[in-house]
Amino acid sequence: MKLNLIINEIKKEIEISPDETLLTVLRKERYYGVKKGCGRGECGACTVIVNGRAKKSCLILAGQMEGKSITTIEGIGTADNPHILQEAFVSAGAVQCGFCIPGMILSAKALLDKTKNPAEGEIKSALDGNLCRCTGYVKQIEAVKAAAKMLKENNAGKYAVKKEKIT
Amino acid sequence: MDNLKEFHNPESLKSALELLAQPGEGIYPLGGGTSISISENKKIIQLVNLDNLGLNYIKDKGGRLVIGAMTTAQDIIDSTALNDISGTVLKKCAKTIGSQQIRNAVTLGGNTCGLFVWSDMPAMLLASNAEIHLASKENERKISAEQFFLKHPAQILKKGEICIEVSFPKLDNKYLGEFIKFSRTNFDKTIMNVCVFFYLKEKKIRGLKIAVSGCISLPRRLKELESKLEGNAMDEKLPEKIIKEASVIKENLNFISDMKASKQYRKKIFETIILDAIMGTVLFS
Amino acid sequence: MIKNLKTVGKSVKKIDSFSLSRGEPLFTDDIHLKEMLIVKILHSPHAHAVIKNIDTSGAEKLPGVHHILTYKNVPRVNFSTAGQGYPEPSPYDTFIMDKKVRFVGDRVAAVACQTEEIAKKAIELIKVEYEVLPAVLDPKEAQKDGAPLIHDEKEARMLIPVEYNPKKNLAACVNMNIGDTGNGFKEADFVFEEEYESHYAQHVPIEPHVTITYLDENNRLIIRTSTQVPFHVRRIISKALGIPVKKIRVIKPRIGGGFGVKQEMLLEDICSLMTLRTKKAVKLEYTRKEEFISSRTRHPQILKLKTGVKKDGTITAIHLESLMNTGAYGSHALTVICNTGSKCLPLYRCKNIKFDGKSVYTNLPVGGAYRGYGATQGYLALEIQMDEMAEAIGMDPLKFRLKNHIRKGEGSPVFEALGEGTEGTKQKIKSCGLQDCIKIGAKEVSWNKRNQLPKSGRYRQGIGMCCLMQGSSIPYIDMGSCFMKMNEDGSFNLMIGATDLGTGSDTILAQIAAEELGITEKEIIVYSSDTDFTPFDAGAYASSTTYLSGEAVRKTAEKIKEEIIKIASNMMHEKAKNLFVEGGKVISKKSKKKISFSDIAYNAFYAERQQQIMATASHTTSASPPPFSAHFAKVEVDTLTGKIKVLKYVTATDCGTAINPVLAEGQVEGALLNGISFALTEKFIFDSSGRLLNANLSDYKIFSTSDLPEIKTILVPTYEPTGPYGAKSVAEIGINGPMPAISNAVYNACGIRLRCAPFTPDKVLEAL
Repeated sequence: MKLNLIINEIKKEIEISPDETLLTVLRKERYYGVKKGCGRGECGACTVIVNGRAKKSCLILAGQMEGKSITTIEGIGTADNPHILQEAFVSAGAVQCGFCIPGMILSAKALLDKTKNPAEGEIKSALDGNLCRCTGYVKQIEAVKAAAKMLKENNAGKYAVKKEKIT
Repeated sequence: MDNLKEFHNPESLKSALELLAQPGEGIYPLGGGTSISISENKKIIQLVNLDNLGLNYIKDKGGRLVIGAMTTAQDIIDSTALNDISGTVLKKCAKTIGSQQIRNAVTLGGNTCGLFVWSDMPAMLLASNAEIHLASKENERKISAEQFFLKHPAQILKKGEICIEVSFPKLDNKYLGEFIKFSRTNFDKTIMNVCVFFYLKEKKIRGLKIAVSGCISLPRRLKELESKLEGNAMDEKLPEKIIKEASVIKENLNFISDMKASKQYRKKIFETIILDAIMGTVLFS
Repeated sequence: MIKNLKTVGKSVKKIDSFSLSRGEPLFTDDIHLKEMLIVKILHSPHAHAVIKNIDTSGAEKLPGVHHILTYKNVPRVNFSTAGQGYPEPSPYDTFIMDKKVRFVGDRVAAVACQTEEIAKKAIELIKVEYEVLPAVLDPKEAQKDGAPLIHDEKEARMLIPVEYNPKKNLAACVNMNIGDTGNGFKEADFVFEEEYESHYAQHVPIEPHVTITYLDENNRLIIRTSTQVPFHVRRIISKALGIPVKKIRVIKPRIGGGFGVKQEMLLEDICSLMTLRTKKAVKLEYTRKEEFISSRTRHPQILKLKTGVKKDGTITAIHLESLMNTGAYGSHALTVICNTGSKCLPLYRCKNIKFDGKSVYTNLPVGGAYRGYGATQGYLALEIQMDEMAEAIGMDPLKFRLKNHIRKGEGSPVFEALGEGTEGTKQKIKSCGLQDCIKIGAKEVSWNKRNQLPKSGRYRQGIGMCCLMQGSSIPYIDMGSCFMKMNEDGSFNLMIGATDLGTGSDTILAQIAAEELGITEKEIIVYSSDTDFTPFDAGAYASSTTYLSGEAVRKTAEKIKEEIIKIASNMMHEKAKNLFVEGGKVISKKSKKKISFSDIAYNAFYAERQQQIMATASHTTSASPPPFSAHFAKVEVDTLTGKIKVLKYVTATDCGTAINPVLAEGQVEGALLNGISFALTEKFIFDSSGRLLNANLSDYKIFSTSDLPEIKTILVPTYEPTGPYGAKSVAEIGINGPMPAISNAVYNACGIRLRCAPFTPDKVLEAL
């Protein structure tokens, strides 16, 4: 079947099979930043943002995405123009093996897009579906706090980040 | 899901119900997708996506809170319409479901009808006297949560029938309520859920409703316990009384064992979690 | 301590973290190869059985099936999957596939197919007739006469001269006897004897095992794989498949976590055989379920510890016995049990120490290397009993440890007596910050107020602590090496066999090279772990990369620096001894003249005495200096539900010089959280036939952000003279603390001793 959707702000028409998950389709389309860690919704490595909300792409059938807008890690920052969260994760030492990081950053982005000034509890709750076995989460929570602070202080210009929509 | 051949994206409830009413086996409704996408069910041949039917809403309708079946747990958490005590307890319940990404996907209808191991809503629906609104091509009916959970919902739902809405009475502000999910870690499936509602009249417990799930095979109201505790004074002797009465009624319950806890353990902690829920109302409100 | 360090000791940003945070295609599976076949494995449903008949004809007929492997068409060469130095100290008891299956999850057949769907169907079409044999699931039963024999094949053997007796299900055995423990117990005022149990666990790297193989244009076998040991993989594949080393290239891209489970050759043999037979690119990727049932685990141990102590706090005797379950194969069976003794028993001064360790085969999942590597299990027993001793003599447990722990300048007879499978290496402690770790940590957790916390009522609180040590690399056995060359802009290529599996070793090795050369790490281009292009390194295990490979890098950088100075001396007409490097320049102390690295490189490439400025060095160690750590757990116990909540956890760790403090903290924190959920929630649940029931991440529970307690990580710097810039290891030690520290905290809170891990609520309720 044909699937029409928007991936990282680009309209796409993709031929899919009805039983394929969004995870499978995105990796086939070479969005390799979407990782497969369990395929059962337990680890969060495959997290993407669907219409503003963080979701596990292994728990979505691609067919459900008709007309939806998807953001993957490839869509939020580049080498020359990283997202503030990517910058913050690097600075805080929050990236070890890095396999969980794209999903973790997207969960954090969905949070910061919605909540300008998250309390620690809100950060923990927003990231609770992204398992990491390397870091013990300490530096990742620090990173999200730092990113929120940077956004709040309107320091975003410093990183030449495309203006984030904050509601 | 090896045999899935067709995926439908209908845009009205009517056409969705028509698709579901087609003769033959293998046509399944698709809610949030959290169970179907990992299902190994080979019977699934067609899926009908319920996402675009306008079933995502929360309304205050004549003293009842009415919630569309495709409303997600996160929609419930974010809702400003759910501002009475039952709405507040429902939000607390929704917050305990899965992880953030799961809360963004799990729907009230799916959580209710699927009765999955991650279904945390049913105890809340039972304790709040909720009504489940079902629809099929031929028929619409409303059924009380109590009736609905008498059997596994799969046995209640007829062919082609889906849940389209859940509603429950708004409670006036004399009411107290609490929902407790007891699990190994914070992002986990439940060992035992309890939901309670009551109010105090002359410091005595009135209108008590207690429902549990996760610790026994089907969610249920504990009416026997409710009647034992109804009218008791909310005083320092109450905890002891709750423990005593809950310890008696648990002898009649068939606790379940799974990877999270044994039935012996569930039985051991039963009265404590009931106690926490009833006493927690005071702290919570 | 060295002063004025420019790069070492600074928390520079991890060099690969930029690209990783952008989700760049860096991992094994992030490539697209034309017509790549997908391999799936058929696993044994039985704990112990002989394959009477296997019929693959149905699967062969399925369109899209390219090749099927069973025991009938694979080479019958036995090996060990353990990625260790050669000759491996693990038994050769494994075939690519065998007629006999020894645990639920063992390999029966493999298919290589056009798509995953076809592969799944092909697996279902393979018909296997088993003769089910009696299974043994309990290590105590496995030792008894008449127990089912798991390795009755005639080929099972050990390459090194140690006791190995598969006819008694004995995979390894080690004994050590120092002094006279009998006498020691007689001298004691108090004698303790208790049994402890450490349980099965899985590493849960978020990236499961995955291997892609293909033939290059010269018909060489390329193995792109998620491994901690690329060079060992090359050697094992060469032997198991009977192809020369020169025909194999192993590439390790970025790795999504390992923690020991990827110190193992698990998928590469099947994947390689499929490529050699089909001439096609082939991928084999474990599902999460397979990761649980068919990769590797932490070895469970039943520990019996007997100690004697005098009223004045002198420990008179320690006797540790451990029965280790290695599962169906003996991967790391000898070395893990050795480490239980050798990494725990030197921590406290004692004249009479005895250790008896046994590893036995059972029909359960296979043990392997796991962060902590035996020490985790040993410290459960030792550090709980230290608390019991302290209580008996009425001494603060903290003071009791301060009185007894090993100090700088001291040795331990255990170092000499017990090594990795054989005798150990004599060594004296040259750096030890444990005193400070204990004192600083105690202050941070408010140790002296621990008895004022609530001790009655439903919720009770307590604080417990423990001390730990580990090692840094395996002396005289493992080797790391390095090759560096200089470019025209004064930058350097650093080629290392050392394997960064997410730890940040590429970064800290670049920092070490940069420090030696007086430049920043940005001038170092790191390329690691490619058997064609980087020199040999044993791999990422045994807490060795910083200490061992780090010194190889430092030596190489030192050599290349000498080379640079030699050329500069010619160019500047000054004596080499007057020249030094700083800020990418060679500077003369005498004339103050400067010449840039770039000018020197241009000169060497194109002008005088033309040459590539380059250097190489190898390093082995004669010691394994231990890092030390003190752990403090503050817990709350719900006495009605039995649930333990960790409120705060403080670690103070002496890893020598932290080359990169933030990355070192990250190692401690990651190990710690893994240790906490191992202590509280992680467990394997088997049915009576040996089948693992909770092979997924919702039933096997590891902690997420919402379970994270308050964590305070403190690094206590010391200077280890034998390590690069004073560094020791830090990767493993942090996982050893949570079991004993939490158990001791629970005792402080409510007076129960939990000795059987994990400390699940039901066990707490039972004990109360």
